[in-house]
Amino acid sequence: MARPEPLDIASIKAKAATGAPQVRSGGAKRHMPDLRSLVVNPGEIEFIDEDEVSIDVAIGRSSTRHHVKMAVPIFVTEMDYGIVSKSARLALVGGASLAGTAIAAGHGGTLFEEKEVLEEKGGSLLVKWSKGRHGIDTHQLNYGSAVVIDMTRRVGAVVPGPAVTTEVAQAYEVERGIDITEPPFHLDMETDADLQGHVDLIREVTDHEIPIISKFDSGDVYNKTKLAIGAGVDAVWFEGMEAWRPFNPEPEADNVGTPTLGIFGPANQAFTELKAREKGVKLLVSGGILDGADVFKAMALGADAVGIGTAARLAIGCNLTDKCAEGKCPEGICTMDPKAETKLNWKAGARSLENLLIAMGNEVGRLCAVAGYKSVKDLDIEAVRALSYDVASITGAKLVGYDKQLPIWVR
Amino acid sequence: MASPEDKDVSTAFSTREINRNLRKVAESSKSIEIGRLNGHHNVAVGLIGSIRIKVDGDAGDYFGSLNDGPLIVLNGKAGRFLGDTMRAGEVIVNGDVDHGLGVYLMGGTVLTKGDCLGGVGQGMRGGTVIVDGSVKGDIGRRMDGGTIIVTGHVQGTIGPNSAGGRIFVGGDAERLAKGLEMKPITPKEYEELKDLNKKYKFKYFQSPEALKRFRRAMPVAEANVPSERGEA
Repeated sequence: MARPEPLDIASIKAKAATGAPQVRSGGAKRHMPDLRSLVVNPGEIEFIDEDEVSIDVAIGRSSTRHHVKMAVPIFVTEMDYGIVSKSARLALVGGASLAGTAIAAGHGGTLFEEKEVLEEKGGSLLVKWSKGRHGIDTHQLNYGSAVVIDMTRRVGAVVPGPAVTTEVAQAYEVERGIDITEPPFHLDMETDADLQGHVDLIREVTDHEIPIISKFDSGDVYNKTKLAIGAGVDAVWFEGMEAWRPFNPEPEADNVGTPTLGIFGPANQAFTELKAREKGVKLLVSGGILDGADVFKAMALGADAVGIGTAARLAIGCNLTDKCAEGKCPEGICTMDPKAETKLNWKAGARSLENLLIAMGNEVGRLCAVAGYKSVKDLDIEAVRALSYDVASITGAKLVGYDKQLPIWVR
Repeated sequence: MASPEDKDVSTAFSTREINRNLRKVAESSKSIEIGRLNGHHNVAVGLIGSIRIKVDGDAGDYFGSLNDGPLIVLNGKAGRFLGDTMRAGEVIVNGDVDHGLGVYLMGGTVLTKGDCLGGVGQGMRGGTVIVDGSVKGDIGRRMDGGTIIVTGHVQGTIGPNSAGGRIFVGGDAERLAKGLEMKPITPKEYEELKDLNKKYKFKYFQSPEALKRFRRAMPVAEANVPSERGEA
């Protein structure tokens, strides 16, 4: 019998004391195979200077007038206002914009101050078509560089009542002090097939000008990818189990979904079957990405751009105290306490995030040069090797020491 | 489409062309007519301003969605999710409407002079949804605000998972979500319904007196508090 780990012991004791399932902040904490179980395969023949490597990417097909342009193949994932403070939102928006990349808006639309920063720094905002529709209207949809249709199944509170200050209530268009919730599914979707209806509706409202992305939790990746591509999106975004969530109920946190590493195989299969890459559809991945090597490996496995959340929060000052759900973040990030928020200087945070994104982009470029690729767009699975049989089985990467794909991947 | 002699869009225009023309006309004209619409989805969506639009024919799904101001009259049937996430304005349908009328409505009024399948006013937070007919399914699911008025019968459940808003039913309403009960309307609510009847001429309520048959679904705790609620 496995000996309980400290987290298990804490959880058992908390449940014994309260009689309630426990909710914690963060992503899955169980041991799972991850991108660190891959290594980069060095190129042998052609010398490439890292300065020659192109690391910029764009989301959008030829049919959309505007594309989301990213100077680095890394974007910042959504963190909802009300969970993170206004200063934290400004630091995240500012950092992404300074680095020339995109950031996803959370629930509750976009704050006026965020728009000012975006407009001043020229950033790209991925607007969320959420299941609660808080802060969503025609202006907001057209304001974004892209619209993200949220197809995740997160349930429960988006922002708990005590964090719903007057300003938060205004952003979400609700009453002050009441839990902000959203349904587990879009109330204007009767079946998953209605995703196409939403894509078509948003295309009409935005006059076919901006890309549309559908975002899913990981799990049943193959079918969801086919659904999204069939619905006509410009990009499919999967979030692995490792992704941070401010309120992550324990039974779901460690037991529901797929680790990021498990996204690529089934997504690539669906992309290949539907010739989606030839049509310009992109694959976005987030969850557990911490450095440029993770980005490189994710792109070698099939991602066209990669999202960071925890790394971005660390850059602006987070120390992983895991008090996000309590709203008592001592760094002024996950809090609505005005006094605590003063701990975060958003302009300094923005510069730190800009530095991180540039550094990660440089790491990606360096690894591309080492592996013999002139552009991140050229990366393929040959650029990596799996360190274990399990990881070779999951990803289709060649196994070190065997130097071939495992037979289950040879078709 | 913009001129009276060119009003037939049944085959001549794609949805994208119809909407582009509507946006263009909205900038320069205060009213427009569309003839023989043939089930196109997503027509007259995302429009801003007080343009008046008259449409003959049947609309598909998401008709009049995400609008902020236009006044639209549809002489025909409509598909699912009419008036989705609408902020302001008015959509009047002289015909039946499929599922999801007024879903996520934030403001303005959507009204049908026919029957609805169900899903009426799901997730709405403001505005008014009027069904001058009967509803075969649920109404007010996950409703947080706004007003739903059904002049006929409601065969489904009223107000499941709702947290706010007002629901009035003129006909039979047997299935109520847990925690709700039907109560007679107050004199103030009667006056409000009378004004709406004057404006929209409900087909089942020819006389103002008949409006007193309306009942309102209310949380049990709120409905049974002795107060000045009174009865109309």
